[in-house]
Amino acid sequence: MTPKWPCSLGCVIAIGAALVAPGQAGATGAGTSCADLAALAIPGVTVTSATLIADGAFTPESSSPRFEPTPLPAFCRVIAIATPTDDSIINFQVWIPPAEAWNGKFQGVGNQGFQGAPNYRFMSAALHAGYATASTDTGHVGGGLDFAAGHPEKIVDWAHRSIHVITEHAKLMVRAHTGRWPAYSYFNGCNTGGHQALMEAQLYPDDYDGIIAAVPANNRLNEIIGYLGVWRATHDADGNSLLSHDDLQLVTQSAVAMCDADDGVVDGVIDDPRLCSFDPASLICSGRASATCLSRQQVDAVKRVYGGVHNSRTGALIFSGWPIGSEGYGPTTREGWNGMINIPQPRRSEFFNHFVFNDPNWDWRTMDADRDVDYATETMGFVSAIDPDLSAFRDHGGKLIMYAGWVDAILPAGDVIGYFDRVVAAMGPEAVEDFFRFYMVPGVAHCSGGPGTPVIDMVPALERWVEQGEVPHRVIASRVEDGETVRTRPLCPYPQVARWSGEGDTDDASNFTCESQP
Amino acid sequence: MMGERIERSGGRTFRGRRAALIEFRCWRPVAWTAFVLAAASCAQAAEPAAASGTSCADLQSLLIPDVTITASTQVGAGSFTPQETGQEYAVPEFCRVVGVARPTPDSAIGFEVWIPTASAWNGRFQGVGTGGYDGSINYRDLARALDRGYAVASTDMGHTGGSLAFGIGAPERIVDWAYRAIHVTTDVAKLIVRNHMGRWPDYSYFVGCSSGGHQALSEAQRFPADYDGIVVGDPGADRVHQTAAYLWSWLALHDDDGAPLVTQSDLRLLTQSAIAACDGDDGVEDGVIDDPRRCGFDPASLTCAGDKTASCLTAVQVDAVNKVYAGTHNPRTGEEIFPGWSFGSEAFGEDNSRGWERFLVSPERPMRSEVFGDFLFNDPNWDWRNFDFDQDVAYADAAIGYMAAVDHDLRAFRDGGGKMVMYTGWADPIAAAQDIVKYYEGVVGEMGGVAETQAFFKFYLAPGMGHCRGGYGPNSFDMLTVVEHWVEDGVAPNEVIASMSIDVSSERTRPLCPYPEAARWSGVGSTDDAQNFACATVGQ
Repeated sequence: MTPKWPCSLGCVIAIGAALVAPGQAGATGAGTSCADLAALAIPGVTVTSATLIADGAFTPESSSPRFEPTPLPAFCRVIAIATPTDDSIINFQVWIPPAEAWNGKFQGVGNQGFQGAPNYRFMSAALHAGYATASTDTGHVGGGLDFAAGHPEKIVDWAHRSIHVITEHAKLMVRAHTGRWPAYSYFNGCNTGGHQALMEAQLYPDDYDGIIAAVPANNRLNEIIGYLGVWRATHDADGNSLLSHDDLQLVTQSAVAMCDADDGVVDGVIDDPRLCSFDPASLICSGRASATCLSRQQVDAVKRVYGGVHNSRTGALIFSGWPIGSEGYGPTTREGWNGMINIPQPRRSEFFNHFVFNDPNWDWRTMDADRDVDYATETMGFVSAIDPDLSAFRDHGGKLIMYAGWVDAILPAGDVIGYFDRVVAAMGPEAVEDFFRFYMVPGVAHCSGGPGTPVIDMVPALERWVEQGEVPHRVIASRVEDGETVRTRPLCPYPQVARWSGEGDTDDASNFTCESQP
Repeated sequence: MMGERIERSGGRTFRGRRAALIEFRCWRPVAWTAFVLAAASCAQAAEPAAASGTSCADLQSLLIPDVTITASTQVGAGSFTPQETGQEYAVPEFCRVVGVARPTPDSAIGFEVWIPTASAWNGRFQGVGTGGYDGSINYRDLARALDRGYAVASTDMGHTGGSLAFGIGAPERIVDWAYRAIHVTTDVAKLIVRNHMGRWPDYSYFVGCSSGGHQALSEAQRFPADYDGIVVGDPGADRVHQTAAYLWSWLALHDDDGAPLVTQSDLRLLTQSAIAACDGDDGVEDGVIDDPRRCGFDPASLTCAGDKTASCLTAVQVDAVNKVYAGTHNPRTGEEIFPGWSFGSEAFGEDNSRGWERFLVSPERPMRSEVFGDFLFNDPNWDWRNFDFDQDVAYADAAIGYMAAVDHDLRAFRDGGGKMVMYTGWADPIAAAQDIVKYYEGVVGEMGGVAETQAFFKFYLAPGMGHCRGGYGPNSFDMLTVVEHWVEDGVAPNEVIASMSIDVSSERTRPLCPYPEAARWSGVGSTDDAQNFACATVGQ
């Protein structure tokens, strides 16, 4: 845990050490040498190796999409295994910059999907920026869900324990190597990383001073139930898909054509799909089927996906619907609902085999949305990070920034908004404003991509909030094409939205202000 | 029965128009197609389909945490003889799942789940209890329930054999026996049924007598969500005090050298004399004492004027049996530890051996006194003669009080919609009827009255009935059907017709009545015909 000094004195010293005198305060020799970190005898930890890596000598392998491996600056690389339970094997790595390069801070980074691998992409970015950083395979190796079969403790490791455990161990290793504790600790995660970010805020509020929860898949169990419902809603009785990617693109294009200008700016982006009055029924073929129209059955399927997944008996909402504009927002088949529809079985349905019913032969076709959902919630509800009470994190002094994209086809925006609304309801709007900012980003997909402004860096805003008390307001996001920034746009704290002043370039953020929606 | 329900509701909609909803359309969607088909197809889809679940053989690959499935085999219809007992049972075709649960490292809870074929399944799950300290699967009740269409489970309670030695140095195994094994087995069994049948049981019932009755009350008290309906028979629920009472009664009925003070014929004399004195109290001469609490029989009336004969008792004998009738008391405070056994429970049945002789007199040491030696004092050399009915009872309550299922607060069970029917025999020589009455009255006090309690929990006392079955009063009835009707159709039971068990040559039927009511003859017609009786509140 990061020691909390009284800010009148300690923070000043810490900030001074971090900002003013890197390389002096943390001079080599203040701590244990990198190689000697291998001799650490932390309970529940085995250090496999601790190696000083020279500048440019290490290129991380690609561990996530859209990551182009590049050589790293010099650092101390610790590879270790944590075993908080007999059943646990949590592989993790801690990368510590040399004293002169270290910014005095620690950044824990989150994972993607169920991927059991350290997130080299985020670690590399953090190391380049001067952080000591850590990442874990979350307690299993590989992207499959079968690790959970017969291993309840590994489920807990994946759900929340691994990040907490490696955070504590990593800080201790940084302390051992640099001779001092990190002045500040941040967590940065998207998707599963966002889920992990909210788990940290909810369950381990003292781990981090600042947390970025991007596109949090925190309502994990219900999300997976949602995938199953969507699959069923978009297939006929014989299991044939009702919607091709072309159909989905037609829907998005039609919706954008109708609603793009609703916010006063024609930019290929629907600003707030909730206000878009597009009705897919307008696409019903009047005569013969063609590429520019849909059958009634297809329209019904699209509408069901908009409507969300509900309990069969009570009608209660289980998982939010997907927004208008997310159907097929780009030319590749990964850009839209295609990835959760045109697959042989519902996305992540193995979750029910391995986590819930403990049966490799369990047939997802038998899933019912009442008692099976109740049972899954009872047994696996703990994998979701949906506690709206974040007062322990707030009381620790923590600051939280969350954002999500309106065209995200993997995690629908409505679910993230729903969580934020519940936090506001539980804690009150004033209390939330003191420590928690949420940004809805038009035209942005899942952690990256989309027709909007997907290049988003919340770290500087979060650091200024944590370290200098500067409350974030608008945050500038950009769109980069072929290495060139072609558009900037402010992101506005929810429920505000960016409004064009009516003058100047609509690709320039300075011509936009944050305003409340009427 | 729950029908297929189709419900639609609002929910999150996007502004400006009504959005369609994704929902799982059938209450019980066995076929996945039900999800996308129109509502009309739900009824069709709800027909059980064998193919929807995991095959019996594949159940062995289940990886339920802390559970090992050792075998899963489809067994053909006909005769089935489990190796474990060698006993033969007639069975319909079923899937037999055998497993071990280890909720703690010390645990080894053997269980079996028997699942009928899809066409034979009545959609229900039944958990069955065990007897005594039996560490064995209750095959008899598994076979019976299976035959009636239930998916059914039984457990060995976490140990093998009838000895109490399993508890020595193994506190977690005592907990398994006391309440955990039934709960764990229930959870695991339901999941196995779900995986095999493709859907959860519509309703779950627990049926148990004696130790099974103890288990039944324990479920209602500790795990109120496990079962929709529970049948409790002659519960040995007040386990710690009951064991003290066996010790008390044994000491009362033996001299200082351990020699019995009464013979079987002395006990028979007591039963006959009590019946002679009180049979007519309820207006019907039928050889049965209707309510022994109201019986004014005094054993001292049998005191021999001269020498001991077959038709009288010595003063020492009268003193001895009076201690058993009076019940176990704290010698310091006078507080009742356990009520006494009732008039009419002393000697009946085959050779008059049903009664105190078998349980309180002939054993060489007090029945179950190992509970204190093995479970409480952890001392194989502990001498039960030293038992202190003041401090040792207090220590037992503190140390192994969890063995008893005597919580009067059944709100959680009630609030979950649970329904429970309890019965006990007035002539029960093992689970003293007055202890069961005491528990029920405790519940009535806690839950706010008879009506409030009867809204979910009814209690039937059977005059002249022994332990779980048998005896000389009507003792054959079907409480499971009664509780099912209550749970599934909302029909609260009132009188329940009991007949004599088949081995007794009597055609008598008689209603059992929800306590505190009792059956009263109308004054007209045969007293062997239940229809000439009505349930009535009996005044003092």
